Amino acid sequence: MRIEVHHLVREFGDTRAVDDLSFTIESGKIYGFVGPNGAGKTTTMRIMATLDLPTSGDVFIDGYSVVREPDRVRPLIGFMPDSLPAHRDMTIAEYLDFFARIQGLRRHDRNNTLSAIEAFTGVAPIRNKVLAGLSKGMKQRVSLARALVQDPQFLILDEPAAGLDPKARIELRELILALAQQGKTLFISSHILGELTEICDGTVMIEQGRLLQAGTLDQLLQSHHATLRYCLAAEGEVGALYQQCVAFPAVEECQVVKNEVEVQLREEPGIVTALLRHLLAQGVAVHECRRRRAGLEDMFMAITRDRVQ
Amino acid sequence: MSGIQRFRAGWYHLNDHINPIVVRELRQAVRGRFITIGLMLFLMVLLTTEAVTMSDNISGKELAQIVFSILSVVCLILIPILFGVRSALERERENMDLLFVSTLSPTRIVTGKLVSSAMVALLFICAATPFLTLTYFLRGVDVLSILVLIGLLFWLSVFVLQAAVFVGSMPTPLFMKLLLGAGFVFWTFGICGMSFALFNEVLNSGWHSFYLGRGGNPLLIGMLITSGFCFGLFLMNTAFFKSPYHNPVFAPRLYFFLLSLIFLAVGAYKLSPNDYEPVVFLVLLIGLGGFAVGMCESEDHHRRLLAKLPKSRLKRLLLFPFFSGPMPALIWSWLVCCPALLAVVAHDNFRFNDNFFETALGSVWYFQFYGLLAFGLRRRLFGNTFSQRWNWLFALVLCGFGMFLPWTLGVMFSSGRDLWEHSLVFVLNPFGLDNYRHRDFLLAVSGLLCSLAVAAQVATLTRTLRTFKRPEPEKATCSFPPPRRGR
Repeated sequence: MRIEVHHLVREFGDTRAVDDLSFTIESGKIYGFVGPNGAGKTTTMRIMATLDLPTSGDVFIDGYSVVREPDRVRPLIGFMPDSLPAHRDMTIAEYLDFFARIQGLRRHDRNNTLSAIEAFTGVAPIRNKVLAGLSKGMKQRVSLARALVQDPQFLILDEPAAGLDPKARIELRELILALAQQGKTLFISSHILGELTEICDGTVMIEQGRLLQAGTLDQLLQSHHATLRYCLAAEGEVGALYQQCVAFPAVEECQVVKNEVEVQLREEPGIVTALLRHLLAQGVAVHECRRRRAGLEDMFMAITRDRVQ
Repeated sequence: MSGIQRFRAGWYHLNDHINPIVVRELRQAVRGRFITIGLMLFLMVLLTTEAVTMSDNISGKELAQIVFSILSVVCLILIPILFGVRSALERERENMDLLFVSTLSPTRIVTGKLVSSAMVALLFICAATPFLTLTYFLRGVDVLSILVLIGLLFWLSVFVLQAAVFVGSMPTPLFMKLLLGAGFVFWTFGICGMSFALFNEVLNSGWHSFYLGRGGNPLLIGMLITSGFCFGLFLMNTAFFKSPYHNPVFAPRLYFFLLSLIFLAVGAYKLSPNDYEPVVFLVLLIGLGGFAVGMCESEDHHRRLLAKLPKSRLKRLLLFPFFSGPMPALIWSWLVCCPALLAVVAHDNFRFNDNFFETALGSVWYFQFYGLLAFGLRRRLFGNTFSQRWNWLFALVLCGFGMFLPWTLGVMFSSGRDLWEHSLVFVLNPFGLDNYRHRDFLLAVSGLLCSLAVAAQVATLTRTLRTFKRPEPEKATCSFPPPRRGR
């Protein structure tokens, strides 16, 4: 399943919430949707979920247009909004049963599907609890379970990790990875860029409704961090390590980060070995040296550095 | 297969085909506190009432009046308010998104809500049947009257519940919803009062005598008209649940237009001039009500919707009044009001100086003037202050000023009988048309004001008409390969 966002524009009066946005999401991949508050992430996701119409442009989901063929698109997608309705008078089992009935699932299919989904999302033990009494993490699980009822191939998750504690966040991440292993395509908006780096295959970055970057994570990180960056730690004072690093001719940038020194080296063969030899020769006992992999946070900051938020 | 197994299989089959909204709403109602506590309180009130009144040698008729009064309050005020609030809260929490993204049609959503609320009303009616049976044993009331009144109460409660879901489901800001909710509560009190009067009359005379006497025909006509409005409310409710891919006002506008024509045609054929006037008044109310709603609508039709328009200009013009937006609503209101006014004249042998005709014509001019004035002023002066959705209230406020300001000025500068002599005092007051002496002058003024207001909107109307056509197909400037289909 391929998702193509095609020159998408959405205007609210004089405000352009989404401004000529175009990108592609490949089948079976997890894509992160990154941008500051008010960047147009939710608006774009609502258009993709056929909940809103673009002023112009279109989104093609498996070749079906969300503008022209919304009824064909809906069975293909599962939309998980950022909040779950807090019903005081409805249990998890009843809530999921309601959406299974909407999908037209008959009794046996309904029971089998719901049992499988409840087991997968881990809500089976608490299926008789009312929605209003659930923790944020459990609500997100129920919301995900609801989105999975129709077995969609494309899942749109709007801020799924917002407000979750670290444990719930890890559990949600595992669920997302398990869904990706089943071959589903996931599109996740989140502010927690570190987490996206860990689970996403690709990312789409927007700001003020405009596209900043889109592509697979490897491509993007490579293009933004082609330089060699290493973190070094030594016994004793970090100042001595820093001074010796600065003195090495191939070091382009050097800074102290906590008890470590982060260096950017000129691209030359064997340059790291040369640096380590230089440090040992100067009496600095290096006990740790590791390549620093850049994350989405660095990339996002680099792209938006000179922009006015 | 044994009987029990067959029954079970049949039940499962039925269970699979029940509207999911009905299942959800009834589950919520049963699990919620309000219905359970309400039912217990209702039974306690009925028990206490029967216990107290039985010791006073009360007749069956009097007891039936009391039981029906309690039932009316519950079914026509309390349950509709409960379901109205539930619908409003559902809208407020934006839960509707998950329904929109599903394959459930708007018609099924509204039907589900209506059926579930009607079933709760039926639950209360069923709970009261033992007490109503007792009234028969106490004598003074016949079984047929009790059954007919139960049927009437249920039918009225369906109408009020439809209105409750309508008000609750309106996609409006909270303040406006509170305002409309307050109006709805007053309206339910009015309906409840009318039902008290009707039930008492039926119980006093008995159904047979009531139906054969002077009450039968008005009741039947009233039921037919209310059923007509009930279906219209259903269509309007459905429009609230339609996604932006549809023209939500098409079905309600077409329905009310046809309903108006049927009312006028049947009334002209069957009714005397005196009886015809309320029908025309009702049709004018439909026309002006639709105009007030249309003034608050957005006319920003999506290109997808416009792409479905026919190429022929004539067909497009015919469709124009049935699209959302203030200008189509203006034309639609003329389509409804003009035949009504013409029908009055024709029914009265083409006498233009008829009292009712003049009042009706003046009212249409006045209310259209205030509506257009509110529309124009908001657009030009208060575009950033408040949204188009408040136009109806702004028009009402202007209308209020039109009525009370001249009156206050009149009181300040003249008094008593002299006040009525000063026609200028009532120039902006639609209710001044009641004062027959100045009616010609006031009609001329209201006609002039309405014409000026319409003239001020000619440019907007022309612009709207010009854009009401198929858009140019979008030029694909995308570098992506053409969309692929199939997995």
